[in-house]
Amino acid sequence: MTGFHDQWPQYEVFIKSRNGLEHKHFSSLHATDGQHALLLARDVYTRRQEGNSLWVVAASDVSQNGAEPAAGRSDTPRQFEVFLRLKPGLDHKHIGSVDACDAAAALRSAETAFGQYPAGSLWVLPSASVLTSEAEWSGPFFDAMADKTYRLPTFYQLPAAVNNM
Amino acid sequence: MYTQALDLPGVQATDSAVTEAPCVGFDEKLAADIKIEPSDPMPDAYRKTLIRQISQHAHSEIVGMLPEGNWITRAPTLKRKAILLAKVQDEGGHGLYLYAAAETLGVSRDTMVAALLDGSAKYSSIFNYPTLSWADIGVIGWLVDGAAITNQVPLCRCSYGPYARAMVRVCKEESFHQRQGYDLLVAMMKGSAAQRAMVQEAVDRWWWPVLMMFGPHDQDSVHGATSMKWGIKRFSNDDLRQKFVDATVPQAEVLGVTLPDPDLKWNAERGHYDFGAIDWNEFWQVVKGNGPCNRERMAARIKAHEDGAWVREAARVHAEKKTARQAH
Amino acid sequence: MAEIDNKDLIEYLLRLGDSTLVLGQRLAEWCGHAPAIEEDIALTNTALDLIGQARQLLSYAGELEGSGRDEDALAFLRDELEFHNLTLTELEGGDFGRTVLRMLLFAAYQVVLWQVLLRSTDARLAAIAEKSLKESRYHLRYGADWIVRLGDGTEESHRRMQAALEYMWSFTAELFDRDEVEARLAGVVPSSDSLRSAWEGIVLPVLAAATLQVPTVAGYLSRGKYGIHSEALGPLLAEMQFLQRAYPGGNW
Repeated sequence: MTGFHDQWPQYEVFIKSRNGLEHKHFSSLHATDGQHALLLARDVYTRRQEGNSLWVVAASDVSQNGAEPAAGRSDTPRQFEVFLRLKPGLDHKHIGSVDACDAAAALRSAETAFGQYPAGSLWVLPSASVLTSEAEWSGPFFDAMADKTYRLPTFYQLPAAVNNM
Repeated sequence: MYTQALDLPGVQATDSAVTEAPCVGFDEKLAADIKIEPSDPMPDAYRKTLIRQISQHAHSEIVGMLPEGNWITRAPTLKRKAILLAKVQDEGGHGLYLYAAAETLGVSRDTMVAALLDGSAKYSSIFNYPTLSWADIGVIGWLVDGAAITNQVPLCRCSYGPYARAMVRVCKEESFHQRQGYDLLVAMMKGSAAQRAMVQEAVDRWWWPVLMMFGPHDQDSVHGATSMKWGIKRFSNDDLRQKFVDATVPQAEVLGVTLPDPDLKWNAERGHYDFGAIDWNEFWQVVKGNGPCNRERMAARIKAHEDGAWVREAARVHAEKKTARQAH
Repeated sequence: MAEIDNKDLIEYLLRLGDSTLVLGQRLAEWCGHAPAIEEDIALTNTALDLIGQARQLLSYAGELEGSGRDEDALAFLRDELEFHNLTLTELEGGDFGRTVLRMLLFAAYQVVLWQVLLRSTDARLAAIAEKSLKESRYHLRYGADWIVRLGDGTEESHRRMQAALEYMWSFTAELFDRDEVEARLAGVVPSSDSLRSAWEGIVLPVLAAATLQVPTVAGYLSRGKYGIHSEALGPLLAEMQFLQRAYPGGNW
């Protein structure tokens, strides 16, 4: 059999819900590049209007506290986005950004700025690596899902005796 | 959609958690109902059990697209076509959420897909049954998804964070799946005699395989106890099966169909419905690959994978070219 | 402005509605069989958009007709010769390359068309165009990305895409063929030939970026939108219409 070891790179997907204030980690998917990942994130993760803004980043660009940070060092500080898991069981949420020359320094700055957290709770990723759904594409990305009400349980009115199904 | 115990009989569950060096904080977290997250220390056997269970669950979703997919092009109205398409698409989405959850444990999607296609990984046996009439689409939504929901709701509280979060999303979407199935059947029952007969025939064919979805009786289930201890499983196979039967009988009455079991009756003493003996020989035959559609399902997955190889390769090569051009 | 004849508008709505329905049906065939799960889900979103557009267009046609035919009567109880879809939409899907190429060609056509129909004097058609334009813009972006990836990918993918283009290209002339129905609907709908340059403005740069050669042979002018189809439509309809035909008057 051919093609067993041909998966595309992994991308992490972050979504801001319609009423949400910040982007929250949702899950991941595989795509050939960031632009591709952005479109697929829309197709896979916003089928029920789960959000109105998407961020995607290559999984290899995500560094977390307590683990080996992603490689890459710049001479001048660059911006990193910081995500925090407030407690086990929750998704990582965007809490701000820090400037640093590499991921390890970004994690240290994040701890200084936002507090000490257990291993795995903090994520940093270079802001320049994040692809975002453009505002002018908001209609094509997210409005098309609005009229697909048959995806919702409330679309179906069942006999009263079983309507709690 | 999901079945709880897919492992062949006679295969002993390894309980290496007992022999392995203790993982700092693991037992305490379980005891305190605190989620285990990917970077937390965890026993190797816990990790392996989760990888097996989550990937089998993912495979079930992906293979589960095929029986219902068989009717997409033949759906009788445009509304039903859109509903069925959206539903089968959701199964694909669920497979993807679950593969992503399994990947947080350090296994690649390639590895999981390879295990499905070479036959070493299992998927839910229910998808090895054929869909032979449009009523099957309704019955799958009502009964198969109903059974899956019964199985899956407890998994939303599973001890492993990414699996629990994936299941919350899956369960939220499954509710529409069951309701559209029942709604479809209600419509057919209001139709012609031929349509009502179609519904009853589909119920007759699916009822027993659906009861098998909950897996073997508790005393025959090889992974039950360890999974319960680890909070990967919250209720036993038999308990869930009973819960499902109790919920379904009144729904069958409202719909106006007969469940094909002469032994099915209310037991006031137990406060549950009694039901007849399940044909476990059939169950194990289907699990082992000798069901009515096992070969067809695998052939369809392998064909999709192989037909797609040139696409995946070309896209990867193009991305490499693009990166190289940007570097210059 | 002269009164328009509803018969003309119905005919025009069927051309649009049948095209989206038939292509939606073709895309739906992929569900469960695409090269990656992510793409499976993406293709289905497009199929759902197209079926949604078809439902709106056919419902409107049925209402104008006023003889009680709804979207389903029109979709499931008309025969081949009564279908008015573009031939391009009914061709057998073939491989993934052909599928995304058709998505590009058709989505570009839809984007150009909806942009004009936004200003249609028919308010209902304008509303359908406004909603559909968002969907078609997304299909176009998705399709264009894939054409570039596959055209400028491996040798095999380039060969497949060039072959797909040779096959599909001759069916694009039909998109821009105009007839007296459109002429009588002036102001309500654009003349098809007026859409060509905008369409080429979208499609040709994508094909160039994909390193594909545009075929020079004009070929046969297909006439699906006038009811004269390829042999691919009959089996598609036979499958799609089976239940409604086998159980007349059923409740679904």
